[in-house]
Amino acid sequence: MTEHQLIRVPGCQRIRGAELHSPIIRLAIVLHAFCSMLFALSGEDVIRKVDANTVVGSISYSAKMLISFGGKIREKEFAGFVQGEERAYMEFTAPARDKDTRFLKIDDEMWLYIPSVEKATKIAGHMLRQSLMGSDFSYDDVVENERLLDMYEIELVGSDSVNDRETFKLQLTAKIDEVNYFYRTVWVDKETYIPVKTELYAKSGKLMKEVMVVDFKKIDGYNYPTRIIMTNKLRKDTYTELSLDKIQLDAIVPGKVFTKAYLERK
Amino acid sequence: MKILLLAWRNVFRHKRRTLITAAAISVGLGAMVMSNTLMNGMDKIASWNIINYETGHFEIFASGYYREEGMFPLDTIIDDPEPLLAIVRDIKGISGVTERVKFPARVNNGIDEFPVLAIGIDLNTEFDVFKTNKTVVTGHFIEKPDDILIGTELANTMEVDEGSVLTIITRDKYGTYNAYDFIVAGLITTEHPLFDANAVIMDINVTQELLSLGKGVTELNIRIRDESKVPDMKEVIQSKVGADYEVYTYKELYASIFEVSGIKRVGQLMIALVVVIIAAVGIINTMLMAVMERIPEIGTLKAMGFQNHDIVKMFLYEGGIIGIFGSLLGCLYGLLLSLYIVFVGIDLSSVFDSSDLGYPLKFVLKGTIDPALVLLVFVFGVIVSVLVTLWPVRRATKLQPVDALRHV
Amino acid sequence: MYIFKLALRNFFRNTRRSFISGLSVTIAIMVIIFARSYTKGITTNINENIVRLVSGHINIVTAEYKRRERLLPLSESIELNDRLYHALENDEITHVSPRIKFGVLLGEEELSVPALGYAFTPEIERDISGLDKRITEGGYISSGEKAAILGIDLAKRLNVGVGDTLTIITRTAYDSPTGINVVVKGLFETGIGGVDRSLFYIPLDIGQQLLDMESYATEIVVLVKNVDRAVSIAQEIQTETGLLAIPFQQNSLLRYINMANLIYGIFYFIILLVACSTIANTMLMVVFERTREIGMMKAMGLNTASVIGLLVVEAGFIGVIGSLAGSIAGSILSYWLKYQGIDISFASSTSSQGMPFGPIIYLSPTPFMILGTFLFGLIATVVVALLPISRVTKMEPAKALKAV
Repeated sequence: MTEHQLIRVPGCQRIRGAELHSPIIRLAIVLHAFCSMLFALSGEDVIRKVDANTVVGSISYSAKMLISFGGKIREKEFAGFVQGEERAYMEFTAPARDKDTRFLKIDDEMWLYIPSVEKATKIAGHMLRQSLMGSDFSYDDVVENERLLDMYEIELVGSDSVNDRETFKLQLTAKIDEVNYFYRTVWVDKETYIPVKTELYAKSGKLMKEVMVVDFKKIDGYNYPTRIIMTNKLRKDTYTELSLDKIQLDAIVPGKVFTKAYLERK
Repeated sequence: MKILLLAWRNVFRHKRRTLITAAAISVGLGAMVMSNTLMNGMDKIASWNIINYETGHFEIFASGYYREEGMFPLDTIIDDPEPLLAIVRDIKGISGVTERVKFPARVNNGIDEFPVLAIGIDLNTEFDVFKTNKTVVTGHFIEKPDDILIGTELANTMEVDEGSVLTIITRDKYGTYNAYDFIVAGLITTEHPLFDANAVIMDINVTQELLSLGKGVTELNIRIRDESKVPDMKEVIQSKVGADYEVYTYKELYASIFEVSGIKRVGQLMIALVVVIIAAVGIINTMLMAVMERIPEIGTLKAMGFQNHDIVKMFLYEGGIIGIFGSLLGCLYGLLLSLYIVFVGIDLSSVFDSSDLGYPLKFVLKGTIDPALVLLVFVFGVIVSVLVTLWPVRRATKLQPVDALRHV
Repeated sequence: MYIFKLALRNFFRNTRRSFISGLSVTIAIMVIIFARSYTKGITTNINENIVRLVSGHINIVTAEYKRRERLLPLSESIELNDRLYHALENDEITHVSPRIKFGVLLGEEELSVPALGYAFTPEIERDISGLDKRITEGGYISSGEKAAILGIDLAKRLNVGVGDTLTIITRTAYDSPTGINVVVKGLFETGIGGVDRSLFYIPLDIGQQLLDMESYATEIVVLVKNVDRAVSIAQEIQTETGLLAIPFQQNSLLRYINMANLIYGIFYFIILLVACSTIANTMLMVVFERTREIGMMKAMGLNTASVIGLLVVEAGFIGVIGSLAGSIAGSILSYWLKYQGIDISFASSTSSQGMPFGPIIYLSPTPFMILGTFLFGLIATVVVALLPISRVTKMEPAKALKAV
């Protein structure tokens, strides 16, 4: 936290100059110090707390995805397992046309299985840039493996209110070249440490996508996001809504799930 | 010598006949010259567009960039074009060189997105190589950094016009998303529909920023003074730039389009053949008549004591002289007409009249003159004239003077 | 009548001269007939290919599909229901074939070949694209088969042959990933580079399954009995179905044919001009050659009009016979090459891409064109002869007789 940042804190006033004469001013300084202590929390700390909520050992879930593309709406259902940050398995269950379409991610590689083609297809090259099932997530959005902490410089820039909730406002700037979105602004709920709103920016600073966590569930002491809406800010009426349910955290997930054999099973 | 003089005087004695004969010869020959000019023009139609708007005569890439037609990898670029530009400018025969950045992008109008090929051009040197400024149909060329030019077909599909705001979305060389708003400065058409439906043009500095290229560019484009030297110059340029770079001619880059010329050439050959035949027939016809009507003269000459071979020689000289006159005349007016075609051209824009675009497409067929061919035509005219004279005259000299005199 | 007989006698009296004069007409006419048949052959060839492989006589799509045509949007497709088929029930329509056009990237691993796929009903398409007659290796496909026919050059690029399995991965009309394994049943060759390099065909039902488009198609290709009626029939279809029905005459590819025709037209013009000048010159020579003769006739009492009439009729003879000979020779050549065809593939080592015509050009002479050219030859000869002949009016018998 650097001095030039202006901190608006309810109850704390902006301090200019250093006149220590009057008692009022002295009180103000003490209050300021007190507030600053609260904000000794760095941006990184906030993010760490966010991760603590979502990066759990093993998770099993089922979910619904609603995709709106220029006004046209499609709904899909799927279920899956996630292990740490490296491994994930996903299987679509509805609608009938998508049934048994499966994805497997291990580290930064991803495979696709379609029932009518018996062998799995590796998603590589420019296929990675294609969207997942027509949603606003591209394959490489999903595969992006590194942690925010490793990719971004994180600055806590203040407080904000999102949907009547108090949030920390964080400014993220890429510190490595290979990121999808160069800038992110993340609003983290002060209570739940859920990133209730994220704005994803192109390198030019143009807003491209917005991700809102609209609902969460408290499971085993963790605050887990259960409804996420990603909106494409460059195209009208284009967004993807993800609703997770039946979430089991620290589930027992058999290792064989994350194998190609399992992916290709009949 | 005496014979030649005699022949010469004969020719001028019958001015009218000479003139008519020469004129007849000239028509066919002039037509030959003009057809050739037109055909050269037709040949160039395809290459003009490509040379003038898309590639120039040569393109230089970093080694490994051009793996397959249609791929534009940003990881294999020319990082610092300055030294390369300097080297190329020094090569003899180069009339201009410029740099470009080509990359795949999506153009977005808020509602729809279409994939395009975006081209960043260097306003300082663009016109040393390209004629892109001639392609603007409405609006104006790029003036400000956030100006963009878009093909008429694409503009139509996206329902945008001069002044519309478009977002260009792409990924920079690291894969990071980047997007930038541009204002449509003008609509362009190159008579190459694939280009018009797929390309957008903007300032190179903006593209370098968009793609995090720094000074890097994807290619250099070269124009040389003498187009016919393209195959030779390739070696020269390649040796000067070295193994780190690859030089391609416009024909190699658009191989698929130029394969067509093989088939077109046959069609042109046929037309050329037809024109030659008609021209030859015209000459033969004329000369034949001119000679035939003078067969009685041969009788007189023989009776006067002229030798056969002298008579033949005289007629040959006459044929030759008239042939030369006629060929000169023909080549002259063939050249004049060709010059018109070269500089003014034939306006074929009506072909595109019914265009569903609402924008008038201009198409003017121009040509180039091939001096070697003009010479060939001239020689052809003279030879045919002489040959045509030869046969009947030789036969006539074999006749008895009295028979010759009776010849009608 | 007397003039007629005189003209005839004059004509035969001087066969050699008549022959030479007529020869230029003959050759010009013959050459023009050949040239027109050749260019018409090319045009016909192109038109046929466009009709068979691309659009049919009438091409039906949704308006939105046409607008976004570049993207090959599967979601903007036509529902194949009874109402639609009812609207297409028409005595003038001979074939109706729904097709799905879709773009894919084919190939394993690094190999990534962009290809254009068509899903169509193989049985109906025998009479439309006629690819069954173009199979060079293997066989043709049938509905319901998980098989494909590939352009011969596409197969080469993909390194597959008859009997191999081809995996197609693409997206459905709903943007879901989809795929299928098909057997390469046969390879075809059309002679058109662009087609042989990039196209493959699968049965419609298989395609609909693959792309999640049951009972849908991206376009419908229609053939009609009478091509000239295509525009009005298209209009009818459009009003009845609300879809866009584009008659072949309005196909944007035709733009290039028109351009080619225009350019060829310029060359005809040049050829015609040269031919005319030859005729003119011949007639001029005739007049001057026969100045004495004409003087004599006038001196004998023939009035100017009769003399002119005589010369005109003579010119007419030359025109008729020359033109006739040329027309006959030209017709024989053209009709022979119509059945024989000219193979121009020697002109390019690999097949061309972009030009929609194959390597064998069948000349396309029509009786109408031949008659027209014949008449032209005749009329041109006479007309062109008029100017020099008119000089006869100025001739004074005495002077003429003295001419050499």
